[in-house]
Order: sequence, then structure tokens, then C-alpha cells
Amino acid sequence: MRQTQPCRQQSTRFCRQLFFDRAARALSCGAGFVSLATLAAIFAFLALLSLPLFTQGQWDSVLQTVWRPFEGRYGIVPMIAGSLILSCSAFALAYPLGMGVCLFVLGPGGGLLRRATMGVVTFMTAIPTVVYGFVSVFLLVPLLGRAFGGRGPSLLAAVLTLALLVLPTIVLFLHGSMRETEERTRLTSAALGFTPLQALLLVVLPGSAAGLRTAAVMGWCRALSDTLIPLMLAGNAPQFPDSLFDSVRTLTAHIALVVAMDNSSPAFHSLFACGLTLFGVSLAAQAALRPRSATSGPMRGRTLGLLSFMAARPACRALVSVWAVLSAAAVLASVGALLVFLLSRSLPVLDLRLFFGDTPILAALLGRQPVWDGLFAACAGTLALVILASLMAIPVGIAGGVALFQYLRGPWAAALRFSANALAGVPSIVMGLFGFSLIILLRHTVAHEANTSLLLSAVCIALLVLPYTINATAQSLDTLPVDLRLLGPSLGMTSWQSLRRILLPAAGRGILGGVVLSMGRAAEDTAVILLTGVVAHGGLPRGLFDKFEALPFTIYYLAAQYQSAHDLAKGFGAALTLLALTVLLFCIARALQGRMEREWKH
Amino acid sequence: METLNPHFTLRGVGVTLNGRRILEGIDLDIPKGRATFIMGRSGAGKTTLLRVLNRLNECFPGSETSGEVLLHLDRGVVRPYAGDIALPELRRLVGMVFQHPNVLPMSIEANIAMPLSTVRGCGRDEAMEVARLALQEARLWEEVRDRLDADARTLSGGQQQRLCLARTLAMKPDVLLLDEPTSSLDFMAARGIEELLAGLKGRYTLVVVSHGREFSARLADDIVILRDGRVHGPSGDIDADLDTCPEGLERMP
Repeated sequence: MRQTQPCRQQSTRFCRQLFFDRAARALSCGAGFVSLATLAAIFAFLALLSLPLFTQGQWDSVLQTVWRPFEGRYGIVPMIAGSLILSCSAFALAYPLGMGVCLFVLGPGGGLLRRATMGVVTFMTAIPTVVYGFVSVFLLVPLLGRAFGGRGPSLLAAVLTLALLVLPTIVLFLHGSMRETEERTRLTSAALGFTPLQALLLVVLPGSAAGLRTAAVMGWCRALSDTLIPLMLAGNAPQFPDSLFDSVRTLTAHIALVVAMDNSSPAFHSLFACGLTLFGVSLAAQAALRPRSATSGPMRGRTLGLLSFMAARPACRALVSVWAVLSAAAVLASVGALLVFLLSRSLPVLDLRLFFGDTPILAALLGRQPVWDGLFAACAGTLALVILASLMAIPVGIAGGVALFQYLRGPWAAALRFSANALAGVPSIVMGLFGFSLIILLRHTVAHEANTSLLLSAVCIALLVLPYTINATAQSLDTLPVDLRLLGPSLGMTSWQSLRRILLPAAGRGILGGVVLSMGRAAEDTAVILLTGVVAHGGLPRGLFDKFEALPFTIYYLAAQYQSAHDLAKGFGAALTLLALTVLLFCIARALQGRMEREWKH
Repeated sequence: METLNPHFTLRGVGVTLNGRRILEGIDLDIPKGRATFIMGRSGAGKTTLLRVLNRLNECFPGSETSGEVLLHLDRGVVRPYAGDIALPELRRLVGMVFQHPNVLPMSIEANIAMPLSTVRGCGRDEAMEVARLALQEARLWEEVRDRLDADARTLSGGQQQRLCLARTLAMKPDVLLLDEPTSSLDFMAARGIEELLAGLKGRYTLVVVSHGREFSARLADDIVILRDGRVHGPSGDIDADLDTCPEGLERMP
């Protein structure tokens, strides 16, 4: 028998390794439960603050059809109707459009144009919501006005913009599941003599029933939970709309508009009822998407019958093809118009004065002189916000992802996975309302001076992007080959050593890509900071507990409140700057994830 | 048949994965210092049986191992599944090489030195020395001595597999578990590994999962046939054992 010679004192090393292993497990599991705790806290806060409505018997005043707070009428029913009408109309437009784009991309040929279309759709996810809204205000609304004679914002403008906003969500989910089915069944379909289009209709669509459902739920939720588009485009009158050109107010916009009111009236408490409603819907949607059995239910007979009816008739097939091409063309044209308009209006006005006003640049950068008339403070605010939020979300998110991948099993893993997904589905305005209610509770209890601030915004943004980091980490680790996962243990490494030395470095690029993507999300979000401390004119943030400016809010603010050509130029400059930032982060993330995929796929 | 000192003794070992029975009632002695080959059709549970020995099945959630496993060490008999021996120590003593060479995306030297310093706490110079000896033992030293800093993935398949073997040897194991070590390699590279294993025979207890009948016939001291989750043999007569092999094992090593 060979004599092994331990390099160091074996027993103390074992103890230390074991300690590290236990500590890593405890820390990462703890981090994982942050998302669970946040979900519970959001529910508890919203419920607590809407409780007076029920205890004081005011709930019937909330369930009215009239919102006139000065007359003591606090009905939120028009807002619920507005939310439903807007989200359902946008969905009804976006889903067939998205299906058309998908059929076009998966259709015969697979040429450059198809790949480019998919690239454009993916790129659309990098465009900030507030930029969609901003361009619509200055491009779509005047166009609609000229065509239909409407004045200013309308339900129709919001529906069209929102449809474009949710389209990439729908297409990415549809495409993901349909391409997988298509690759699996390609040879079978070809052997049966189907044309590519027949194969799509008869085999791929029925085979991706679960994916179609997921895309529908996610797309509709995205439309329901958006705040900025209705806020900027739908007019915000608390009424039932009579036509597409009427003004409506959604629950999300309602929260954003009313939150600054005095905080004892029923109006104030009704906000939390709105938040609770939105939260409940997003949670229900998430629960509906829980993976059921291994094979999800197949497509129903009637739908299948319709599909085979269409596949059998040349005229129907031609119609489907035309529809696919038209959808793709419509989407490409819309995105093209958006970008061309934004660039053509913002590039001519872009210069350093737009950022720094008349202040010397060096002095402004060093913070020696304040910048009164420029975007510098907003850029600095956004930068500070993204850095602060990342400092909180990244370590916790990565640790949570590690817990999900390595340490948690069975019901605990399921609970964490559910909470991360549910948290990702929480509308950002609800997250903002959560931050706002945190301040109210603090004021009523320990810190009477507490106020909304940069720190509060950063915490809420961090919680908003946390699930993305958790999921990106867990998914990147999951894509590693099984042999690599076994390598560390087979060499006698503890699970922490194996993670630290082998698995995390190997998955590093994918994790980093997810992190960068979530930074882009942090930079573009407007609804959260709207309720937690952003201001239009505040200069550079002087500290964590100070108010701050931010690019997305500046864009939103200027779109509605511009008073001069210079203000408008600032708006366009800010939109271009924010777009450039998110697109840059998006490209970095894609490059990192692409390299990780190539490295570990055979 | 002479009596052999066992290195592993398995009594009534069974493994289930998510309730599905993979192995059942395995009684097996793995003799010290010999080459034991595990053969059988794909899906018969060969790899799972191999992973019973270093408790690697536990890395898969939902796997459960029952029965008794005894590991005979110089200091006495330990029961790995009863916690008599720390898991990292067990897996260091019972080294493993996988079917596909899984080098890490780092330099050739770091592939060996990193696990050494992580698991055994070796300093840099010591790790270098151990790495050199291990590379020599794996007959790779002459080919890589001038480019130890090169990315390990630039090596050929056969070289990568020898690097993986060197990495395992550097941990100073007593037992080597080899999971079809040549099946992902071309003919020449496979022959290289085979010669290398022939040289290691006797100095280590080898437990090898194999598909290749010829390969097994040339190297094995004992052959165990797995069929439907149960073992058959070893009878002591390799040729007789090979003849009871199910068909479908004619593939070249």
C-alpha cells in the first residue's frame, strides 16, 4: 500500500474546509430566501396598508365607478376596467403579430432576413420602456391626430405602443418553444411529406401547446404591469372609455399619479388595494404557469381541427404566409421608424452643452460646480443608482442562484424557484409602492424623519432585478456538462471548493451576462424610482439619503412638461443617451452569454 | 482459486434513482492490486456501480444507496456510507477518470496544481513537483514539458485523457475508477491509454467500466458482468466470463 503524505496537517485542513463549506451553504441559502422574504413582505405591507379600508368599512366606497377624491368618492373600478381594456387590446394585437413573426422566422429558407428579424426582435428587449413612450408621444400621437383627428393621448396610442412593447416577450417565448419542437420533429414531418408550412401548422404548433400558453400569459402580464406607456400615452382620465380615442387610466398609472397625496384618506389606502390587486394577478399568473406533469396537456380538438383545416387548403396556407410576412414587415417597420425618428431628432442637437450647460466640464465632473441646465446630474444619478443596486443585487443574486443549483432540494428549491419567478413578475410600480410603504411604516414607528431617497430607490431596484440574477446564475450553472459537476467531488473537493474553483469560473461568462442584463434593467426602470425619491431638478445626489435625478425620469418628465425647444432637445438627448447605455449593456451581455454557450456546447 | 485481499467488499448493495431501481442485491469483492472490469450492456448500471465506490451517486438528487460497503485500508476496515471516513478523503483515496476527458479551461499545469492546492493544501513548488511526477507517471511529461502554460484544451483527445489521469494520480489515490476511459478516443490514442493502464496495474487497484471485449480480455484480472442490475461472476476464469457477456460488446475499444 502506498503511503500518502499529506502536504499539511490533514485534520485542521478538513475542519477548515468543512467550516467553509457549511458557511457557504448557510450564506447562499440565506441569500436565496431574500426573494421569498421580499415576496412575503410585499404582500404583508400592501395588505397592512389597505387594511383600514376593510376595518373601517370603506371598501364599498372603493368599489365604486367614480373617482372624485375631493367629493369623497374613491372608486377604482374605472381603473380596473382601464387596465383590463388596455392590456387585453394590446395583447389581442401583439399575440397574432408575434405568432406571425414566429412563423416567418421559422418558415422555409432560414435566410439572412429571417435571422435578422429575430435579431431585431431580441434587440427590442434592450430598448427602454420610457423610450418607446417618448417616441410615441412625438411620433405616433401626432400621426394618429392627423389620421383620425384626435387630440393628444388616447387609448389607441397606448394600445399600439404597448403592443410593440410586449411583442418581444411573446415572440421570444413562442420562438423558444416552437424552435425546439421544430428541430425535434423536422425529419418526421419531412418524411411524412409535409411542406414546411404544413409542418409548422400540423406538427410544431400543436406540439408547442405549453409554450403557446406561457407566451400568452407572460405577454398579457407584461402588458398589464406596465406603467409608463399608459401614463405617457393613455390620457389618464379616470373614466370608462367610449371609443378607442378616449382617455383611460390604468391601475398602474393611477398608483403613480396619486401616491403623493396625504396619507390618511381612503384615497390613499385605496392605492394599496390597487397594488394588492396587481400583485395578486401577477402571482396568480405565475401559479398558473407552474409546470404541471411531465407532458403538459395537448392541444384541444377544435383548435387542432382548425389548424388541419387551414393546412389542407392552399388558399389558407397562402393567407398564413402573407400574414407572417406582413407581421414581420410591420414589426421591422415600427422599430425602424422608432430608431430613425429618435436618431434624426436627437443627433443634430447632441453636444456637450446638452449635458453640462454652461458649466466647465472638468469642474462639473469633479463636482466643484453644480450643473443647472444639463443632463449631467441625471446621468450621474442613474449611474449611482445602477452601481448601488448592483452592489446589493449581484452578490445576493449569485448566492441565491448557487443555493438553487447546489444546496436546495425538493420543496425548498421549488419554493425559491417560485418566489424568484413570482418576484420577476411583480409589476415595477408595485415594487415602488412597496418602497414607499416602507418609508411610511418607518415614519410611523422608529424613524420619523425617514424619506424617499437614493438608497430606497436602489434597494427597490435591487429587489426588482434580484430574480434575474438568481435565474441567470442557476441557469448558467445548469448548462454545464454533468461530468464537470462530478469532477470536483471526484477529486475530493467539498461542494464549496468545487463551486469556487471549477463550476463558478466555468459558468462565469453566462452569470456575468445575466448580471449585465439586469444592470440594463436597473438603468431603464422608471416606475420604481417614480415613487421612491427621484426628482426633476435636484442636481447631483449629495448622499444616500438625498433625492436624485435619473435619465428615465428626465425623459418621462420632459415628454410631458417641456416648455422650450431646448427642453425638447434635452429630452431627445436623454432618450438617446439612455438607449445607448442599455444597448451597450445588452450587447456586452449577449457577447458574454454567446461565448459561454459556444464554450460548453459540443 | 487463491484467496485475495479485498479492497472493497459490497454486500447487498442497491441503488435507486428517483424511486427507479438501478442496482439490486450486489455482492462483490474487489481484490486489492488487481484490475477488475465491469461489463454489460448500456443501461445495465455499470457507471452507477462504479460511482457507488466513491459515493459519487450522491451528487444526483433523488439517488439512494442501500446495503453495506466496506473499504479495507491499512489502518483497518471503514464503512464509507456510515461516515467512518470523511467524504473528501474517501474520494481522494478512490480516484476517478471519466469517459470523456474533462480538462478544465485553464493551463496544463493548473489542471493538476489547482486541485492539489485546493484539496491537499500544497504550496506552489510542492504542487509543481507532484504535478511533474504525475505527468511522468501518465507518460505525458515529455510531450508537454515545454508548454505547461498552454491551455489544456489545445491537447489532443488522447493527451487530454492522460492529463485527466495525471490529475487523478497526483492526488495519490489507492484505487482508480475508470469509466470507459478509451471509448471516446481514436484507435491509436486508445492503445496509448491501454498501455498506460497496463503499466499502472499492480500498483493501484483498478476498477474499469468497459464496453470493449478485446480491451477487457487484454487487461482484466477479473471480469464482473452486470445484467438487469445484478452481478454475475467473477468466476476466476476470464474467458468463461467473457463468453457469458451479452451480445453487442463487439465494438472496438
